[in-house]
Amino acid sequence: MALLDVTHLTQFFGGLRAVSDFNIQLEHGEIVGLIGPNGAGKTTVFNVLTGVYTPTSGTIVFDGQNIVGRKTHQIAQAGIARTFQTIRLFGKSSVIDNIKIAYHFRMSYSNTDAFLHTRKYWQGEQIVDDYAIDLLRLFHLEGHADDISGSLPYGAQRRLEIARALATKPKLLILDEPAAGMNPAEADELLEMIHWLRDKFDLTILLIEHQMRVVMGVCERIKVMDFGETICEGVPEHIRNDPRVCEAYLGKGA
Amino acid sequence: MTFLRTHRTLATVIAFVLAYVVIKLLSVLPLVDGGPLLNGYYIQLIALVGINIVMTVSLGMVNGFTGQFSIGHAGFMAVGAYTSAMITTVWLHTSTANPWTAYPVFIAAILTGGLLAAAAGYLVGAPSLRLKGDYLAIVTLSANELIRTVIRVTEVLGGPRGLGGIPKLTTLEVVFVFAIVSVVLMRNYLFSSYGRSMKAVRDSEIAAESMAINTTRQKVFVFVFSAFFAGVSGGVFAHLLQFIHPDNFSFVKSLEYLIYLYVGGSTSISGAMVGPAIFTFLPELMRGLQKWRLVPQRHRKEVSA
Amino acid sequence: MGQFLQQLINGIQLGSIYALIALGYTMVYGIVRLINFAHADIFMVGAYMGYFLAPVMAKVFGGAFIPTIIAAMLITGLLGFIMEKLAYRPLRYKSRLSALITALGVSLFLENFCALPFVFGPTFRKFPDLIVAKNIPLPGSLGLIIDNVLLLDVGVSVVLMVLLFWFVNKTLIGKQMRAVSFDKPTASLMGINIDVVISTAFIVGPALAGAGGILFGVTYGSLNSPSLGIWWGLKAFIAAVLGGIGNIPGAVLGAYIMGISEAFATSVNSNLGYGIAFAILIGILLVRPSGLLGKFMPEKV
Repeated sequence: MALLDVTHLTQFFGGLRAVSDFNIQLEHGEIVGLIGPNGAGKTTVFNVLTGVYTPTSGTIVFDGQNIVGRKTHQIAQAGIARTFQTIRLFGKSSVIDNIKIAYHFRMSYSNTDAFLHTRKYWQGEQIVDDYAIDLLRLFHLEGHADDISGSLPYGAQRRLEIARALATKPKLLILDEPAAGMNPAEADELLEMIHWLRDKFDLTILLIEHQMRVVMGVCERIKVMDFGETICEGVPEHIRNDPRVCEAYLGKGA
Repeated sequence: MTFLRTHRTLATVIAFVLAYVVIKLLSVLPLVDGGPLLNGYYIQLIALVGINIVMTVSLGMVNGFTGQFSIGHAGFMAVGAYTSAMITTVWLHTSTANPWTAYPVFIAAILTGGLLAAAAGYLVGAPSLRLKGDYLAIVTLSANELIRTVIRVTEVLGGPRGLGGIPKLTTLEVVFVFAIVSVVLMRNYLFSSYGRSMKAVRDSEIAAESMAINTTRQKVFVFVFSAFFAGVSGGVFAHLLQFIHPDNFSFVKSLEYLIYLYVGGSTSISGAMVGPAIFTFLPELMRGLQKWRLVPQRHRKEVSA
Repeated sequence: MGQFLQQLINGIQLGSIYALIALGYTMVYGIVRLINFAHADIFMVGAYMGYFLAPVMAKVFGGAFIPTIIAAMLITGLLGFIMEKLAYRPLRYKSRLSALITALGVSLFLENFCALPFVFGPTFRKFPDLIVAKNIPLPGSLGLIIDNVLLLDVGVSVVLMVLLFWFVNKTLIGKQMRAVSFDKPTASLMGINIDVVISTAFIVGPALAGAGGILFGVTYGSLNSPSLGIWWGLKAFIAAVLGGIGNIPGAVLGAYIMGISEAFATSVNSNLGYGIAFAILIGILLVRPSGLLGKFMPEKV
């Protein structure tokens, strides 16, 4: 059974149809790209998947459960984690606290333990401390653990955002333009990292990206959207040669 | 790390205890002619500082650390003050009751006041914290004035005349114990996973929600316990002044707490403690200057006479 | 029935004064998204201007009311302009919270500054008799009484509101104001001078509050202290929120709802009259979070 099964997803904003009849199936362990010109409705799809918007119609089945109408945090707890197009770290918190915050819903102690700093509190804090440091080490951020996250360099902030998403232990990771603002060398590093992420954390990955070298290099399947509609999908070679894709990006007759 | 955080709590306690010892000494030792430096009036003022510290720190939990904007904190204080005052004035007929019976009743009364304030906080917070923007500000402000109106029209509570005859059970010691316990509890909460979630809500609510935090529940919980501490402060306040009036808890009073908070620094507990300390004393110190305020007028009168 | 209509008339009178203050809150909020707490104190300054200017105007022009209200509006408009320039403009691109706290600070400053003995002084002052109150019994068996002050209150606020609607809907600067309140960045890309628009809102809103202050003085005849603005301002603000803050007709609607409900509640219990506004507000906000005529704007992700 597919990990994520989206059928006939449609999203209206007032009279504007942002997404229409969007379908996608993700198998466990796949890396799938979602591309299309600006305003095609990609980020809207992400926002619907993560419960920021409730779809006008359609079903979303994730891991065997229908998640339409659930709140964002419930969907995150069910195993979908995301990053944002414009970085949204907890900018005034330290780097390590960013990770710990994402661990919060699995924290074992109660509000009462938090007020009284009981033995359970100390045990819980010990566990999350160790967990967060280990995770930061994987992303080469352990040296910055106590820095304020807003002060990190851009590339490190991107890495931290991915690390933070992983701290919720997701099954599906969705990345909204992870290579935005990166130079080719950094983008290559990102390519490698995405493959490594999938294997290391046993993930399924859905990503929006504009940099074609990243999309073509990492995705096993690609879906192209334009004006809210899916215009084409398939393996990278197929997409590269599809005239409709060219047309969507460059206009007719290009 | 762990070691340091235990110490931080300990440091708070030690600071409070030291402050108590100094104040106590100053109020007994005959340092100036005719008696100690701190007379009963100053002791009362210091007790007020303690109460204001708890009010401000608890307001800071909502406004500073969770990034919401509540401007009706005095309303919850009123709920606690009136509830506890009703209990003690009914149960303890005279203000000279035996301390062994008086204090258990007093503690039960202020805790009941806190719980009722927390319930009021839930009623106000649960619907309004779901909404973003300035709505919490508007609703808390209105709730504050609504609570005051309810008190004004309720005869049992003394209505617009106020409620008097409250036994004087709040001593300097009571205030210190109350302030230490409250500040330590709130500080503990802040240095926990829940406290981190509060700051996450403040920094980016959408991101916090995407990181599996039930932001609404976290906001409501913080708001409710903040109202609880405001309620307990109200109880302690009522038993210090022995007379409470609806106008003690108006929107203007809430603004005072906002000023204490933002003057001291809304994102640190020590800041939230400094603000009230300065601002409770400053007007009193300035009072020395007040007699000069009318000098030009008096001078004029003398000249014309 | 007679009692009912009488309270309705009183409520409309009260609502007219609220409306003049509420419009300033709503205009400023619509354009800079700031709850301008100091607006209440501008209303107070307007009322005190009446006290100080009326005798002068009476000497200079013979008649006092119209010159006084115009002068008070000019002065409060200027005060609003200066306030924005000094206090809010430096914070325009800082967090909204800093502006809000600054607004609180400005409010407290105005209140305490005006209470100084060499400014307005902290004591009670009797407002000069700009208009000699005269009861006008209405024909009919209900025994309704209105007075010329009531007619004046309602008349002046209706005239000012009509002028404001004309200003906002028909003039270029008014159209620019609406554009800015709709979408500030886009408006500025379209060549609208944001500074001018914001300044205009901070002149027009306070000028209306100044007129409200004069009407308040004429109607109630006494200025208790420079903190008199707080409660009037608070209730006018509540009225603006009730109607949908940022929405001009909403502010007027909210103000009349407030005035009328307050008049009725006061006839039951004088303390209730004060609180009823807040109960209505909470009730309405729970059902319509954006107020009666306000539009709900979803957050962009």
